[in-house]
Amino acid sequence: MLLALLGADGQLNVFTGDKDAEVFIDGQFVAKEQVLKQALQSGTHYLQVKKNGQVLKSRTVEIQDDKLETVVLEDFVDYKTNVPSRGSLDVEALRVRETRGNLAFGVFGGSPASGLSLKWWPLERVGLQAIGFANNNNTVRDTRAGGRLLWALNESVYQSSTFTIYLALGVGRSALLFVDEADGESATYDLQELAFGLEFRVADFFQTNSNERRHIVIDKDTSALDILLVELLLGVGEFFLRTAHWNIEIGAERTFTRYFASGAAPSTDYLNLKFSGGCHIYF
Amino acid sequence: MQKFLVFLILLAAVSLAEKGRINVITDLPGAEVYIDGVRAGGDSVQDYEVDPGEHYVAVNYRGKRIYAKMHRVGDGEIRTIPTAHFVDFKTNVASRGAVDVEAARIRETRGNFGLGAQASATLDTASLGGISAKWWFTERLGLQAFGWLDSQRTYSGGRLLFWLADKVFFNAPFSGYLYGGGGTDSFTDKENTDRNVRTAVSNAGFGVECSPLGVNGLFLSVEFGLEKRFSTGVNVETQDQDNTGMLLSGGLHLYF
Repeated sequence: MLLALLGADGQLNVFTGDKDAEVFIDGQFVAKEQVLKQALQSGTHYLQVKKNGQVLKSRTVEIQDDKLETVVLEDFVDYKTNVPSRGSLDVEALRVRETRGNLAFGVFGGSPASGLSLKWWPLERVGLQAIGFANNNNTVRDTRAGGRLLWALNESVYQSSTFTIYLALGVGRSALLFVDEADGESATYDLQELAFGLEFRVADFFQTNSNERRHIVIDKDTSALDILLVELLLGVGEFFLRTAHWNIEIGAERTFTRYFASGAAPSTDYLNLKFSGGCHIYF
Repeated sequence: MQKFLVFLILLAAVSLAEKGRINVITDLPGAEVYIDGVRAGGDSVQDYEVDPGEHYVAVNYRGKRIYAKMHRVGDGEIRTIPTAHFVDFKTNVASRGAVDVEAARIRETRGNFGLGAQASATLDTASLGGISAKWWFTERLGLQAFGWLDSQRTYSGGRLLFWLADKVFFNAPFSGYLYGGGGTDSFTDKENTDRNVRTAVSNAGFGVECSPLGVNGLFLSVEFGLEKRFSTGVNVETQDQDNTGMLLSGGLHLYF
C-alpha cells in the first residue's frame, strides 16, 4: 500500500539460479543471483541478466497494480524415469512371492549331494533345503544326503515371478559302497560348500505369461489321437517351462574322501570351485 | 483524498485476504527448500505462510538444484508439494488368496474322483502300477488304489495322498501333493514255482498333477519319491532282496 502511495504499484521477483549473475532492471543494476520483491511502478519494464559482461537473458516484464510478478530465468530441466522405486518393488516382490509359495520340491544337481530336493522358506530371508538320493541294490549302495541353509540376499520381480539372489551354506555326505570290491572302489564323501545362486523362472524370459494355452494344428488330416498326444506332450513341456523355478549356482566345495577297499588310496581333502543347479516347483 | 480512499479500500482488501500455506516434502535428509528465493527449511517445510498468488519453490540437494517449479496458492489454501519421485510398481500376478479361492472353485468343477492309470519304476526295475482310482475325500486328504493282473504278474497298491496346495494352470487345478503307501508285486510262474517272487513295496514322495487340456481333460501326475522293496521267494537271491531306490511314477486320470 505504501508502494501505491509512493507511486510504485507492483513488485517483482527475479530468480536466476546463478550466484554470479547480475540482474538489471531498466538498465540499472539491482542485485546478484535474485531479486526479491523489488518495488516497481505499474507498466512495462526491461529485465536483463548479465554475467562476465555478457547478457544471458533479457525480456520485458509487465508489472500490474499491487501484484507480485515472479520471473524465473533459471534453466532447470527435470529428469524422471519410470524405473520403479525400491520400496514399491520390495512390496510387490513380497506379494508375488506369496502367490508363488514358500515350499518347493524338485531336483538338485551338484553338491553337497544330488537328488530330490525340498526347499522351504520359513522366513522372508532364510530358507532350508534338503537333498537326498538312494539306490541300494544287490551290487551297490549309493546314498546321498545333504542339507543347506539359504540366505536370500535380494528378491526382486522379473516379469511375473520372483527373481532371487541367495547364498547357500551346505553340508552333506555321499556314500558309494560296492558289495563286491571288483565292481568298484567304495568310498564316502564328506562335503561342505558355500555357493552363490540365482533362482528364476525360465518362462519369464520368453514373456509367456498368458494363462491360455497355445494350440497347434498340425494338419487337417492328422488324426485326433495324434493331436491329443502332441497337445499333451507340448502341454507338459510348457507346464514345466512356465511353473518351474530354476537355480544356477557357483561356489566353493570342500570334499573329504575316504576309501574303504583293501589297499585303497589314502583319504583326500580337496577344495574346489563348483557349479550346481536345480529345478523346483513352488506351492 | 482520493488516494487515501483507495489506500483504505486496498488495506481492507489485504486484511481480508487470508494467507496461504505451503508444505514441501522432499524425503531427502540434507535437502534445502527455498520459497521465493528465501530458505524456508530443510528436507521438509510445514505451514510456510505466503500471500495468495504465484510462488517459486525450489529444492537444493548437495549443492545442486533438484526441483524448481512455480506454484499458485489461493486465499487460505494449503498447497502440499511432494518433490520426491516415486514410481509405483505393480504386476498382474494374482494375489495368493484369489488364486486359492479360484483353484478351489475349479477343483470343485473338476470333481474329486478320478479314474485312470498309474505306473512307476525305480532305477533298477518296474514297480507298482495299473488301473487306478483316486478319491479326494477331504480338501487335503485323498486315497489312491491301483492294481494290475495278468497271467504271471500281479500288482496291487494303495496310497494316502496329502494335498499341499493348488494353483491354476491351463484353466485347471495344478496340485502339489505328498504321498505315502505301499503294495505288493507278485510274480507267479505256475510251471516253475521256484521262480515265484513276492515283493512288498513301500514308498513315499511328492508329486504334481495338472491337465494340459483343461479342467475336463486328462490329469497328468508326475511324482518323485523313494521306494523300499523287500522280496521273498525260493530263489530270491537272484532277485532284488531288500533294496531302496529313487522312484519315478506318474499317472493319467479323468476326474468327475
